[in-house]
Amino acid sequence: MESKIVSLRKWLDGLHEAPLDIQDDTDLIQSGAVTSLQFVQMVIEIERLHGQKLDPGVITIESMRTLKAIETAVFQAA
Amino acid sequence: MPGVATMESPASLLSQPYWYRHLPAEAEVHQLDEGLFAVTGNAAVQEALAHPLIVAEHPLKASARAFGPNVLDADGPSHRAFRALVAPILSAGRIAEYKQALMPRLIHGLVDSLAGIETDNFYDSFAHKVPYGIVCTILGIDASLEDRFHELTRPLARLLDYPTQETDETHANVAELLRLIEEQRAARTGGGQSLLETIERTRDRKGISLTDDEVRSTALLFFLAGTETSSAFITSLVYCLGRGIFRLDELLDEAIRDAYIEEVLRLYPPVQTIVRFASEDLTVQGVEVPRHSAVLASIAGANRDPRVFDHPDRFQTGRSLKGSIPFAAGAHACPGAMLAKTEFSLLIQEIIQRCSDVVITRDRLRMESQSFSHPTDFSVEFRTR
Repeated sequence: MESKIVSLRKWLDGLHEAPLDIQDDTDLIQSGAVTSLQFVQMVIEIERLHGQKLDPGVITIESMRTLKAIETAVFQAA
Repeated sequence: MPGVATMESPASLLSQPYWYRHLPAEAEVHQLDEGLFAVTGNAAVQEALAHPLIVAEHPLKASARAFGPNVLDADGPSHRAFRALVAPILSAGRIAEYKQALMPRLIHGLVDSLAGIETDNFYDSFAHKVPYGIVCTILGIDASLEDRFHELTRPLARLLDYPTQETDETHANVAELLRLIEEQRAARTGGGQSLLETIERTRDRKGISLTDDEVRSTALLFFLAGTETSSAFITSLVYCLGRGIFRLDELLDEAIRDAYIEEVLRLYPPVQTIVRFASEDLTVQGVEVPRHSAVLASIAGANRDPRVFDHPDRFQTGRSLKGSIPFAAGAHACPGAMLAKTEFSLLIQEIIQRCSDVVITRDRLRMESQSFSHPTDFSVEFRTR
């Protein structure tokens, strides 16, 4: 079974017609990987992959800015 | 089930003026995407804006990231604390003071520059002058900085718009405006009556727990909301004057003028789309909205809902305005509505005293922006008496 972060990367790829080069430390907003509204929608996808409700304290710009930050703050912290 | 949404991508849909018209008219709530809902019917919009579980605060939304904790992005006690800070500056007594001296001076100056001319860029060249003059004075900003504030603030409006434009320029402008606001606060240019000084006094007197940074951010949001919404709406007012819907002389009657302004507000609310978030799983008009979803409330759709307004696209003063919500509804309804209406009424009065006709001489019938909506790409001539 693929990891949650790989699944999230695929979700992000699916937002675009052309493939995106999203590194672990790519700033998702600054790079244009997500729009402002998609950044919010991404929380739902993360929660779905995580399989449980996210702690509100983890939904911060620092925790969600990059795939690496999401992996550390959400998926590995579980 | 929610109404079936459009085949267009949400970003493409939301970039269009009157985007609600592209959704099925029979439904009030539409799922545009996973975690993204549009609310377009009047009853549904009012329910969403007053819903205790539909909140303004979301740490990832663009304005919260750019401005930090502020009045637009807070809920509950925190939001009430922010509102309490700005309330003294928007009281009936203070508005009466602005109406006596500040507004007439600014409006007279603007109409002086308009009388006898034709312009193809009313919005960028003229519409901001009165709102910026008023809000700079209220905020305690030196008059010499008005143009600088305008130059820095206008691009920031895109941070609150849909689709959002977030660039290095917008972040740099936020930092520079906060620096200027702090500089002005330190210089005490407002003589004790400025918004910043009033906020600080109110905070200290009421024991409201807000940091200096939060006070600056609130002041900046107050500035942005007070200037750019009014600039947009003044453009709509002048546009409607120029379309010849009314003989100008009729608007000398204050009651008719007020009804005219209310009808323009219904048809052209400057804030056409408001984004909120579902804090828990909930329903709006029976449609299930999962937690964390973004909820886009269409004020424009609500104000032209045929279930509430007969011939909703028709300009018709004197109609019942029950259900018209140009300043939104619920806890986040615009606190500056009375100030704005006073400003608009005085402006029209001055224009019709000086001008025999206001005429749209070129019109591409275009609208711009969701959060500071206004007609664009038109020319207007102000013919003197």
